[in-house]
Amino acid sequence: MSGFIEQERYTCAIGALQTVVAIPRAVPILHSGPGCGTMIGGFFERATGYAGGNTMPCTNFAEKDVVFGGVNKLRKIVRS
Amino acid sequence: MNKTNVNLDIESVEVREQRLGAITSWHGGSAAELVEQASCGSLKEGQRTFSQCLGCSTTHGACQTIMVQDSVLISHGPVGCSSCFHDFAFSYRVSGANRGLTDLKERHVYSTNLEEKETIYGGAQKLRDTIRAAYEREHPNAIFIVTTCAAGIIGDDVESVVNEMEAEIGIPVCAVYCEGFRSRVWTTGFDAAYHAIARKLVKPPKQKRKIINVINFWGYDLFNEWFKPLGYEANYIAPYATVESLGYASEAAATMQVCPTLGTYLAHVLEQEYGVPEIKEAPPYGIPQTDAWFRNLGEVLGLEDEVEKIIKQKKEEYLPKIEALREKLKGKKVYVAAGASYGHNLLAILRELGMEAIGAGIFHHEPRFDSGSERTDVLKKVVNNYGDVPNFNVCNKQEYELVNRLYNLKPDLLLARHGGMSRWGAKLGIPSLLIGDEHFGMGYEGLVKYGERILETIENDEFVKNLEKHAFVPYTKWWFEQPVDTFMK
Repeated sequence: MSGFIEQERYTCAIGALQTVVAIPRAVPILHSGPGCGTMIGGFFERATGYAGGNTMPCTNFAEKDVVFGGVNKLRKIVRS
Repeated sequence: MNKTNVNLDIESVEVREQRLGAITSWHGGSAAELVEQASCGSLKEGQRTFSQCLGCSTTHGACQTIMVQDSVLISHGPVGCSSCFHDFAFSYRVSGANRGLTDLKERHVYSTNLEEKETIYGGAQKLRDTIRAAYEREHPNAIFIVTTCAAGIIGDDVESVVNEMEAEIGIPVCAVYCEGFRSRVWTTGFDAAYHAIARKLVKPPKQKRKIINVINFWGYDLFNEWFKPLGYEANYIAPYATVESLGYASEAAATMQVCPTLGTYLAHVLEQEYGVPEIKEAPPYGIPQTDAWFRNLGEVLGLEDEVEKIIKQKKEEYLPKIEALREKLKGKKVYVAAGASYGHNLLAILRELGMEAIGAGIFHHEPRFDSGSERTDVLKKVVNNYGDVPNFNVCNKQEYELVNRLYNLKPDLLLARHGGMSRWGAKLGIPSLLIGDEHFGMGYEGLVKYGERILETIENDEFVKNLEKHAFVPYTKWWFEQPVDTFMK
């Protein structure tokens, strides 16, 4: 277990999506809360590659999904 | 319309969907139709079957509180939930110079760094440790805690920790409840930040001061210039405020806000709790609104004659320049992509300068604000002053909709306010202008300054024209041929 952090120099595991961003014709889909994309976009200083930053599709789960699950939302977004 | 009931005893503020009836998607036609639906209560949130990344409340809670000079910000959540806060630390340092503040303390953001173990056993101990360490390392006068989805979902009792630590270290520890998943309307984070400030930092008034509260972001120091002839000083909230100056906000002669979306809650709380009158008139963008706003200010301060003098003097100084700009900009077609109500204000500026608004995508819409006053309804004022805006939609930063609109409407200029939106204009070869400073376009002088920047942007289009040839856009031809509301249910 690591403790708290002052002035973080790394981000959470969602940062992995930036690898997908570097691949032409590949689109990462975020199954996350609404702000996660902004956080990662900000962390990488808006390096958006093929379809990064705010272009990434995201399920943006809300209170309802936290309680009842958001898998259907994910299905829908992959389909569209 | 109804006022919001203020209750500072409860921990968190009600989200905007419930409190103000705010919506984030609407494809009903023109601006006038939106105003009409909002005023008769028939406004309905549209549902998208496809969505791109949105903003979240925690960012907005942080962007105000991180800027309080003698405070420290702690993000209670996983490390990723404060990944973009260094942007605010940067703005803090850079924009401070515009306020004449050069000796600013570097922002140190703390994260409680919640991990798997804490999501099971709770993160309260880590929060305690972080608060203690932050206090020992920085000796701030107040500590802000912004909460995140993870902290909310595991149900950490932040309020108990905060009260306990407050007793231990002896300074205000303010919890800002701004979990991202709680609200679709990310500006709820502003309300959460101001709720915390109002609960913990604003003190009951002891005397009256010759100051006017200015609820704002980090724009340049315009208001001291405006208030000086009236004998008042600006008390900027919350960026670059101090714990002390937030404390005596209750002693001000009035409260104004550069954007009702930002300040609606605090301005209302200060009026309800401490009797500080709110300047309800929509902010001073465009000539009619600048006059109306100054008159409202004069009315509140009891300085009607002085204000008339200022208006007269400004008209003499700036009207000829505005007229000259109108000649050059006449008939240019503009699309606006920005938040409410700054986007509405941009619509006023560009039409005051003789340009044509051919559409707008505004991130959210509040049919009413906390004061319940119709004077604050910016979009209604814009429609009344300059007429309707076609192709108006409420769109929470959905880039695919923006790109479709830009491609089909082919404006001469894109006006934006948020990073990430203006790049689409540039990629499609459309000159794009992003000015982050809200104070820049205010008043008569603002029209001149904005007009000059617009002219510069339109005239220097070589770069975007070249970029268009080499940029790739991930959207297909199919999408450009679809109606923009294809993914609306």
